[in-house]
Amino acid sequence: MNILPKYFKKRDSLTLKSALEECVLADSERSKSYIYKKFYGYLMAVALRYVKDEMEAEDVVNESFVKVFRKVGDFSFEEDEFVIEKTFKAWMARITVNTSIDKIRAKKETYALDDIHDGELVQHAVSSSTRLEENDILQLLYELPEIQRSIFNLYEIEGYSHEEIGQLLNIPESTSRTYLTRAKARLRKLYTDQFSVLDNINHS
Amino acid sequence: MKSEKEIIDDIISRIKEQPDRGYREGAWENFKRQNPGTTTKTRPMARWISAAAALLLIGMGTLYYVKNSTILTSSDMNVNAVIEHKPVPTEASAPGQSHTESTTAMPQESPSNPSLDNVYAINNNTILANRNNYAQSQAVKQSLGLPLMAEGLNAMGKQIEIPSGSTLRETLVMPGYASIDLKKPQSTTSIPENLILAAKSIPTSELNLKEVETRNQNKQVRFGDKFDLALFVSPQSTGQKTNVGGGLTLAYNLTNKISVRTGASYNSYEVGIMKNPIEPSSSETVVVNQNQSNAPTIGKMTNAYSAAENNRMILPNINAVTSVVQSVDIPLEVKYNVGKSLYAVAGVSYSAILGQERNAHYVDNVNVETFSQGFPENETQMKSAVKAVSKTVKSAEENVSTNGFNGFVNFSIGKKVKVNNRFGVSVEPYFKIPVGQYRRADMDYTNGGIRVMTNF
Repeated sequence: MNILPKYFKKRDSLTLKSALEECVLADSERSKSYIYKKFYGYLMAVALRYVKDEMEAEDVVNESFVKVFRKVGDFSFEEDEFVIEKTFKAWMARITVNTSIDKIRAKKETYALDDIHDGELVQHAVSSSTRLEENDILQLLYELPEIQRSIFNLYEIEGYSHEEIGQLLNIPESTSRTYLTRAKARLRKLYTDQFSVLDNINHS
Repeated sequence: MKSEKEIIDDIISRIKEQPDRGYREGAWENFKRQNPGTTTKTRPMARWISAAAALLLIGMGTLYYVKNSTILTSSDMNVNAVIEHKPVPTEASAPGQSHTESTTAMPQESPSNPSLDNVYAINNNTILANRNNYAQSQAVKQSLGLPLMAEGLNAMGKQIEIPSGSTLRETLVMPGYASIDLKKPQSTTSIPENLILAAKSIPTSELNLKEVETRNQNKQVRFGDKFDLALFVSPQSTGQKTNVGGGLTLAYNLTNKISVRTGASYNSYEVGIMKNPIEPSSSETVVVNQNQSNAPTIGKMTNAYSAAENNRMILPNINAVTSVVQSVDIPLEVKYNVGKSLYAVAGVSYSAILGQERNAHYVDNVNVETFSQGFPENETQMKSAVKAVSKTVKSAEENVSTNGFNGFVNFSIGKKVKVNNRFGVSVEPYFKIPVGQYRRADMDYTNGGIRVMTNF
């Protein structure tokens, strides 16, 4: 009896295009597994820009994948595999960003957006490297309040306008501008401090 | 020292260049566990259901096709049998008798010469002139696939004496039918002689067409978790009669949802079919006792056809045929439990025919020789002399050929109610579609009923 189910299964390896097609047409686990494993790391990187906690980021990613799989039928893609990957990643990133924002907004009831709660007051680890590593940049971001971090990411990284950010976060545009200015100022300070510490270590 | 703008640009570029995080082992499994609805597995059951549905569709299509093509063939043959009125010379004619008449005079025959024609008049319209031709009997033979008496006579080289009353002019008057003029040709080769006119709606007909299906009902006894033994009795009613069948089934549970079921059941299928007696296809080969070949029970209409060949003869104008087929059905079915108590069953069954009986019904005159006592003097005498009666004779034909596969395609749905842990009752309406020789038979053996099962 095991022969027939095996016979039914396709044995050819998946590409992103075929996985997307299979996901849309057959809603198969195989295609979803392929997409999930291929883009898990990418979406984690996106989520971690907004959400500090890694477990929380994974929740965001999983939630995003649920949306991705549900709406994958709406995603229109070209023939070229490279173009597909690029556009699909952008599409998924947008979903993940929105999910992250939703997550942060859900926490709004607990914390004032502009406050830094206790967890964020912990001093970041000082790298012994002579330069700021990628993770250190993230650590700098994590020093920002969530709302400022979100606005900075949305505006500078994702390319949203203040109007879009205002709608997304349900805040006035002016508030978005103000928070962005504050975020940049804080980041500059954190960056400078980080460098001076590193310089001191290197020169001592 | 970098400018403020350079610092921000550096931060932005570094953030954008952030490498992807690696895949964490077990993340997908975790995702699947948390979102079972989203991670729709490749649903093998859906595939099986699709495959089963496709097979079912193909099966139904095939049945439909086979059924239609059968009807078409039969119809074509009937048409040929009616249209073909070519005089065919025969050597089986009685010597010195009307051989010439039956072979040469036909095209020129006029209704005024009733000695050569059998004229059937219904509602004052001449419907069919049955020439005493060999051609028609050939056509009848083709449609029935049966040897004709005349052919048998040819083979045997025998002569048959015609009863002296063969020149009698008979008039049968029945409600709704104007008159029937019957002439007995003197040639033994004229097969459709002594024709009796009748139709489905003859009020005096006492025919009872019964279409009855027998079905089984189940009682189940457990032989462990995997096997279920069931005894069943099933009442079934179709039209005018209710029959009861019975048997047992043995089910093997493949999974909690799916079982394979087989067993054996005794069934008696009683069906009937009305025929238009004026069509050649209404002929029926019947069994006669040689000693009684001219007996009144058979009727005058068959006298001229009585043949010595295997005690059979052809009765040309049958109103109806009823049949009883007794069989043991051996099913092979798949049972799918839709819910806790609801289930659906589909499968096929092989039907081993134990015995079958076929009866032909026709309308005859009450008297063998209608005017043997003299011509009627008034209407009362006329009516009593030509009173129509319905008669039944056993047919020599088989209802269902036993050469080849006989069976049914079975569908049923059932509801099981547990009385306690070991005892339960199921009610299972079912529907059976005939296949194989049952389908090829001239009657429709499609049947249905309700099984009431007792599970132990």
